[in-house]
Amino acid sequence: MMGLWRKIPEGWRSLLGLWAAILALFAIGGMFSPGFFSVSQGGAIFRSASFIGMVAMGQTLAILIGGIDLSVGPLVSLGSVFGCLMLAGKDENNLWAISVILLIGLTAGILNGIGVSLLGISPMVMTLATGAIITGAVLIYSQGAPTGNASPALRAVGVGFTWSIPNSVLIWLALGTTLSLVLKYTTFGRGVYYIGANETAAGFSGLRVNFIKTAVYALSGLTAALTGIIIAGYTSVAFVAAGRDYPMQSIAAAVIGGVAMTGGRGGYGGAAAGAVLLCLIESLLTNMNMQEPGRKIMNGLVIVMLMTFYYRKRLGSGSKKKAAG
Amino acid sequence: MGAKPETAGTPVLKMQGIDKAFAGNPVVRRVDFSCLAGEIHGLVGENGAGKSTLMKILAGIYQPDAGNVILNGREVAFRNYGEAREAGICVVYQELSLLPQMSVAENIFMGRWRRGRAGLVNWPEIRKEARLALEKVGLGDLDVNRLVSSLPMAVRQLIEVAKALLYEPRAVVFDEPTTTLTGSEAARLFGLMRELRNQGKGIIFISHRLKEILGVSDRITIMKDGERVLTGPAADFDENKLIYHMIGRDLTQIFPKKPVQLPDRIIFSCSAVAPGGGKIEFSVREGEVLGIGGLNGQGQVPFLESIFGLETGAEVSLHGGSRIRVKSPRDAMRVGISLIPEDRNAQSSFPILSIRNNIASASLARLSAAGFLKTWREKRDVRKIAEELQIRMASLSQEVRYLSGGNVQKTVFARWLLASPKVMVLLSPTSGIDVGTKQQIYRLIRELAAGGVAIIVLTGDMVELIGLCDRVLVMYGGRVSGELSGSELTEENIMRTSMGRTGGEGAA
Amino acid sequence: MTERGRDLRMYLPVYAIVLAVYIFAGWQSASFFTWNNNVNLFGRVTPLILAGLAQTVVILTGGIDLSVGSMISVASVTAASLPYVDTPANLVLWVLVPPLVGLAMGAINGLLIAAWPFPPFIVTLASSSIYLGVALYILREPGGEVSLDATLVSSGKIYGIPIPLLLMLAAVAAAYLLLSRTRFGRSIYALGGNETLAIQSGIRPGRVKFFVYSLSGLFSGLAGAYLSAWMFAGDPLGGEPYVMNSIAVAVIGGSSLMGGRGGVPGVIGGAYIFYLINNILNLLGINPFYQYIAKGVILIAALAVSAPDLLRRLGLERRREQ
Repeated sequence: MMGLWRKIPEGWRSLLGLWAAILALFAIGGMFSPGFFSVSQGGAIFRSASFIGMVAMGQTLAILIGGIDLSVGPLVSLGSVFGCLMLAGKDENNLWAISVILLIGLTAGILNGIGVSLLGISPMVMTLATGAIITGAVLIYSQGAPTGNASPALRAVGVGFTWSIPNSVLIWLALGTTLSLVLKYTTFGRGVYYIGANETAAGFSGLRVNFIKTAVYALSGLTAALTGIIIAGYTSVAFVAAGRDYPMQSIAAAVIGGVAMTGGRGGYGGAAAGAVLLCLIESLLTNMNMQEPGRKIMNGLVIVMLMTFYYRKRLGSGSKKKAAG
Repeated sequence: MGAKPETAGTPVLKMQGIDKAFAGNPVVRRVDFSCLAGEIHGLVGENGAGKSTLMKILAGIYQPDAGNVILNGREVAFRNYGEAREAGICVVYQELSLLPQMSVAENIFMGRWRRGRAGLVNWPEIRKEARLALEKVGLGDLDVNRLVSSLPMAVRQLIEVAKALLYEPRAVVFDEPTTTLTGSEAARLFGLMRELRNQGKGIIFISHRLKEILGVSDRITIMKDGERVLTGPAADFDENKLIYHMIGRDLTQIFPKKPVQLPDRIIFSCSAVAPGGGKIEFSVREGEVLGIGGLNGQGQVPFLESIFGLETGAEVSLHGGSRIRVKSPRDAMRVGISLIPEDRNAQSSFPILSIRNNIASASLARLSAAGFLKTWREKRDVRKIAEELQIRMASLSQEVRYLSGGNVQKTVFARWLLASPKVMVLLSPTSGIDVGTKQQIYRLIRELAAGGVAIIVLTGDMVELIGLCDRVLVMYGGRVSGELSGSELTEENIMRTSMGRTGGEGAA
Repeated sequence: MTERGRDLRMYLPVYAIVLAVYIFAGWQSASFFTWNNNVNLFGRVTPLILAGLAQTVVILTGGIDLSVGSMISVASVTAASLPYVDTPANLVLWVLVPPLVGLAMGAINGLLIAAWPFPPFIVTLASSSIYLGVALYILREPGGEVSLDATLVSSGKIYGIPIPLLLMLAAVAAAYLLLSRTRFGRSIYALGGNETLAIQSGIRPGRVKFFVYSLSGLFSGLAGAYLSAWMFAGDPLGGEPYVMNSIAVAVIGGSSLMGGRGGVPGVIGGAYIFYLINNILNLLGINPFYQYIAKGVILIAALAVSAPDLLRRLGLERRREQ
């Protein structure tokens, strides 16, 4: 049995481990409270996972190239606030409003990409700065008190179900699968890994490093804005703080899913599982009547525990590696 | 040569039965080594022979798997360099251990800021001490507040020595200190080494320049494949004998035969801005291997990188076609120029990616359609080329960081063979590689040249320039100072042109 | 270039901006140069300088501390939960306990980062969540009471000089001495400059990292204590903005996220720029929401201008030879 386990490639092994953990947690949840197994409970967990998971798509890409995107939070807020304001509860606004918001997300991402690749600004600071600018734009546009409502069609996307699966989960599934395939089977995806593993060598191999980096941040901006719109459909009304937790949660999902902060290692499958795990733990702890302080503490402990798991190989030989410098 | 002490002093340090392996690969095997007080002990061997590892064990940076180190008759086991240094062993590194963004004084006292009251660093005191330390190496008039980054390499090397001497060492290891120095700068350093020897210190001197080793050392130890081959008085050796023991066979056997007559067909010509001003124009004929020589840092790298579209960019022409200006690496690759950078780990390999990914990285366009990779074709082509080059691996999905230096370099070659370039610029392609792989790479270079690829090789290795290349451009001060081919291709001629014909002081 | 030349060049842009903003503000608004406005400014900028120092010592080693905000929150709610008795002993408690709590939290970060090969980003991301939980556990909502003596610290004066200013100067002087005049301080720069070389020089990276994260905790603890005194209460979420703001302040102040470059003078300048912008916009009666945009633009501009390889990246400068 162990022999068979060892034959599975490392990447798949951690992915299987994550899903096993998810199933186990579901079982534990079911034992503690019978309602945990219900379709509605599962649907709710996966719906919140779909929001984190969609933001984590761009975040995973950014981390894979050795960067990070902190502007996803403000962009989610922007999607939510601008969405409600522009749609004003009417379906005829759908096309232009959604196009405009996605365009803003894309532009913000391209700006991030240009700052990081051409100007050489560190990704953390660059995305922090664009994030601040976007937050300002959201506050100014909404005067700090957003109004408006999602359109009926968007409401249907946000709260509706198809084959008793939440629509947002289906969208996530489709987009996430596409991203996984793109990372695995396209030259763009391969380029992302090359840049994350060694940017200089990627340049010497003739890759369009700056273009790929900019495209990555552009995609991240796009997915974050899209998530914001869908969240507007779910909540119907907008919140300025809608995106507050998403930068850290999307990073946590990617990291839990085995995406290395140093770039070049990991995949979206892991990040998606990470998003589910995050929401599952949150829901489980809520079900066990654990208050917010306890949930926060558990969240941190889970990350530390999973780190020990991912870095266990290096733990043994750590000192030698350091010496070799 | 000065007066070498006739009598061998007492051993300052002894290393007995040292073993060291990395990830199961033995790098140093049962090595005995000793250095006497008042001697300069030359340590030679090819890259990867284990010299550096042995010295790192001596300096406490690595711990030996077996064997012991005896210093002044006492067995020692250093846990880090700090301990070794306190005990009296100092290393002057090839890659200088000075931080460029810090001042001279600060660098000299780095890791040693313990003077002063209340735990504070006493800067005036340190500046004074630094000045004293610099006087000992003949840099008495250097401003200790200058940033290291603003100083030439030769001065940095001497600062490094001053820093080491501060610890009043019993033994000083000079790890390839002359790599970046010109002739007269090196002579100054040798003078300093002799002075230290005459003070009764043990000096260990590592260099790839065999003439230097023979000229400066009292005794010489030769290492090969992690083992000590032999130790003897310097007078017993000449260059040929050193080389024979270093590589275990005669030189003539390593290099493939050069073609007797080259066709006159020019397949690549280039006009580049010379780093030292003016232009460099050259061409490569079909089947020819063109060497670029000279001392380190004479503008070879920027010149060659300009062919690949870095720096100012060069004008090139292939097979007598029209002249094209190469403005970026992508331009260069589009016309079929490839460049294998000098630093394998930092510039050309993807350590955490699989062998397959590494080899395919420059051929993505050919291995895909509409942006989608044809993975079956990728696997097939990569496997074929990896087998051709006999890359030693567990599978194609093995990560490159687990391969040995020679095999990593093979994956880099495989990448460029797969991309089938028309021009290949190779920067130090065999540095740090074992003889067997070297031989294979030389053969490969010849085959490529014979197959119609224009080959340009930069190497600091004299033997390689003479053995591998048909023609050599020697550079000095950012310009071509000589072109040698056929029977002119001798060590004397290369050395002479390397110094610039005038033989004056060079720009460092 | 000499050492002093480098320092001057590094901090020149920051202080040029501070000066320019100062002059602009004074020109635009008569009330700007009033004593009250400046005292108020000192009071507001102090916690940001402390948080910036916390972040800077870590960034100098090439690391990052995302738990600065949560540590500030914990210190602030701790200060507000201390027994409310107005005695000198209580003031001592207030001065000692929150910083020590911060120190302990920082030490835990340092231990994890020094002992294992975990990236600082993830360790502090996790601990940030844990410490936030702790803060919420101590105080679910903003509140608690801060002893009057302690509040004096934020609003009182000694010989007419506001206490916040004195405190800030003391902390800054200590940090400056530590970084530039002690062996430990210089080890931080060496480690951030090049870890391999630092090891070759006999510096033990694990130790330095442990102390650096502990120090970050200590400064965060001070910031938290100060915040509680300023607001007369503890706030479990009060530290949150300081995570990103501290990074921004460190970076505007010339610290490189790669480590080895930066220092205390830059932090002060950076923090001042941050608050002067707020101050000016307030004085000019501009919608405070524009602050965010101003901050973002300044951050990008500061970095784009000081990016050492900007010229090279734009192809305007030849690359340095080898």
